[in-house]
Amino acid sequence: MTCGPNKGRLRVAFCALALLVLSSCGSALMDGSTPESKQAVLDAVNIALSTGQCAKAISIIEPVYNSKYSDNDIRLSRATAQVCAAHLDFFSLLGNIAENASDLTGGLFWNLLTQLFPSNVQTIDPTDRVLEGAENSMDALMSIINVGQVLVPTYEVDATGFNPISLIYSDRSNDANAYMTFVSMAAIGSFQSRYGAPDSTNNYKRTKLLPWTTATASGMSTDGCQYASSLVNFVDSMGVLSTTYTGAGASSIQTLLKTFQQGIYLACEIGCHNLPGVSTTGTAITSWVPAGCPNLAASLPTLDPTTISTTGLPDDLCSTCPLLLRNRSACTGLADDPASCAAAALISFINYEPLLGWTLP
Amino acid sequence: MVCGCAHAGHGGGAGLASPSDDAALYVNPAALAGVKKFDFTGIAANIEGSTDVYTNYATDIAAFSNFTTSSIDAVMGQDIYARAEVTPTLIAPNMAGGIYVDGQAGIVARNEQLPQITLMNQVTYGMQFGYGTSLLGRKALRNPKMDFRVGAAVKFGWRRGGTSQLDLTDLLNLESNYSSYLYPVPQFGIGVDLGMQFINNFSKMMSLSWGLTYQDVGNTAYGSADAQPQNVSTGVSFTYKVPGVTATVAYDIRHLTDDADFMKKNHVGLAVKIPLIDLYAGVYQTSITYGASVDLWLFNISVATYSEEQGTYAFQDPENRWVARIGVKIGI
Repeated sequence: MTCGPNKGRLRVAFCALALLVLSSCGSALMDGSTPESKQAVLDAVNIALSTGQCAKAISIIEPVYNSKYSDNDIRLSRATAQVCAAHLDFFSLLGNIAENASDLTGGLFWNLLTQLFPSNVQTIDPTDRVLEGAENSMDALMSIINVGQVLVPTYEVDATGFNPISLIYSDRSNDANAYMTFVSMAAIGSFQSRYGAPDSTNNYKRTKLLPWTTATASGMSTDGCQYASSLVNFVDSMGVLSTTYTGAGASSIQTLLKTFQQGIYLACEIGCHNLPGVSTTGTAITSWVPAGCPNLAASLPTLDPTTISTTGLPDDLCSTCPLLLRNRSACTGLADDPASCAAAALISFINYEPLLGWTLP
Repeated sequence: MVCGCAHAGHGGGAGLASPSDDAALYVNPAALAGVKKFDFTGIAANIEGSTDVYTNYATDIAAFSNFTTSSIDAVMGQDIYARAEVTPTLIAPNMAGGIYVDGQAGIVARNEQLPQITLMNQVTYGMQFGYGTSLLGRKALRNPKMDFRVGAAVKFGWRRGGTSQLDLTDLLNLESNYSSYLYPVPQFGIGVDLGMQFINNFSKMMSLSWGLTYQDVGNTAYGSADAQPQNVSTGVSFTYKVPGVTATVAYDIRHLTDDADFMKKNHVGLAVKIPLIDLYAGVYQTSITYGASVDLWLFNISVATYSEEQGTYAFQDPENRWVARIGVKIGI
C-alpha cells in the first residue's frame, strides 16, 4: 500500500497514524543519561530485587554507577543491589532484631549477626559473595553525600571518581547512614562467619579467635581492616539511625547503641594508643595485648584501666577513633599506622571483652 | 480522574474523539454538543481490581489483618490496586451534570533489600457539570457532514489522601505510623476540563473524528491532598456503520505534555457494537485489552481487562487489572 495524498483523506490519516506509532518504537535508554532513563534504571533494579534477582540488578546498576551519570539515587540503588548478594532482607532483618531483643545487650549480638549472615571464603564456596556484596554496598552508601556538602580532602576517598566517599558520617545523608547500620551488620556477620568458625549447633558461638590482633598481623591491611572498618561504621551510622527511628523496634536500636557505641570507640582509641586492653567496666584484660605500635605510644602517659574506662584517653592524635579507619582500605599493616593499630584493638575487643565481645564456647 | 473505569478497559481506553453520550462529560465535554436526547444513568458503578488482588486475596488479607513490617513482605512484587467509582449522570442536549464518588487504594512494594513502597489511599467526591456546543452553528445543521465542537466542564469536589512514596525513615516508622496514611482529611478543589471535537461524516456509513482535551487545566489542587495533574490528550477515531453493526477504530495519545515514554501514551482500540452486545479489543499503552458489554433491558453490564504500566518505560512492570461496570440507564 502506498501513502500518496491522492489516495484520499482516509489513507492520509492512516499513514499519519502509522508514522506516529512507529516513531515511538525506538530503543529505550538505560544509561542514566536522562531523568527518565535514570528512573527506568531504578525501576528495573527495584523490580529485579523484588524477586531476588541479585545478579540482574547488579548488571543493570553497575554501568550507571560507574559512569558520569551516577548520583545519590543511583548510589543508593547500587547499595541495595550489592547487598542483595549478602541476603539482606530489610523487613526480615528488622523483625529478627526485634525478636532477639534480649541478645542486644551483650556479646550474643555478634552470635545473632553470624547466624543471620552465614558466609564462606571462596576457597570453600567459590560462589559466596555475602561479604563482598556488603562491602560494595557500604562503599556506595559512603558516597551518598548531602547536597552542597564541602568535603575535607584528607577524609575523602576516590575524590576524582564518579562516586567520591566521605569518611565523615555527618557529610552523608540520614538515609544513607541509617541504611548503613543494617548493611554493616551484614558485613560484620559474614566476616565472623568466615573467620570465627561459628558453631551452628551451639548458638553460633565462635570456636576460633579472629586473627589480626596486632597492627602488623597478616591480613590486617585487607580483611582485618575491613572488619574493623565495618565495626566503626556500624556504630557511627547507628547514632544517626537512633535519631530517625521511632517505630516499634526503635528501642532495640537504642539498646544496641547504648551497649556498643561507647565500647567500640574506646577500644579503637586504646589500639591507637597502643595500650593494653581494658573492659568497659574498668578491668584489665590480660589476653588483650597492645596493638604492637610502640611509636604511637612513645609520647603517651601510662594510664590505669579504671581511668581509661571512666575518663577516656588524653587529647592527642588518637583522642578519637581514627577517621581513616572508616575507609576499609586505609590500613597499611605497619606499626606506625594509627588505623591499623586501632583496628587491631577492635579485633581484640571482639575476641576478649567479657561482656560485649563475641561469646566464647 | 473520573474516567468511567470501564472506559479504560474498552478498546484500549481510546475514544476521546468520539465518546459515548454518558462518558462525554468526563472524557470530552465537546461531545456533549452531539447529545440529542435526555438520559439519566441512575447507577453507574465501576469496580476495578488488579489481578493480584484476587489471586493473592487470602494471603494478603491474613498478612494485613495484624499489621507488622512483615505484612509488606507478603505483598512484595505484587501490584495491589482496587478502585470503586459511582457516577450517576443526567445528560441533556448540549449539557450534562453528574455526581461522582471515586475511591482508590493500592500498595506497590518493590525491592526486598530496601523496600520501595508506594501507598495509595485516595477518595474523591463531588459534582461535575459540562456544556458543549457546535462552532459551526446552523452551518452544521445545513451540512450534517461536518461539525466542529467545543466544550468545557467544571468540577467541584473534595479529595482526601493520595499517593505516598515511603522513604527509609517512613519505612522504619511504618509500624507505628501506618494509620496516618489511612485517615487523611478531605480537601476542597475546583477544576476545569476543556475539549474540542471535529467530526467529518463521509457518508451515512463512515465518519472520522478528531478530539483534543485539556483536563484539569493547570492542575486541580485539593489543598494538602494530592493534586490532580493536568492532562492534554488527543485522538482520532473512525466509525463504520452497516445495518446492525457499528465498528469504531480509535487511537488516542494521552498525557501529551508529560515527560514519559511515548509508548505509554498510546491507546488503540476497536469497538464492535451489535444489538445488545458490544465487543472491545485494543492496546492500552503496550498491553492487549479486551472486554464486552451487554444490554439487559435498563441495565448495561460491562467487563474488561487491561494493563497499566507501573515502570518508567513500556514493558517494564505492567499491572494487569480487571474492571466491571453496571449501569442503569433511563431515557427521559
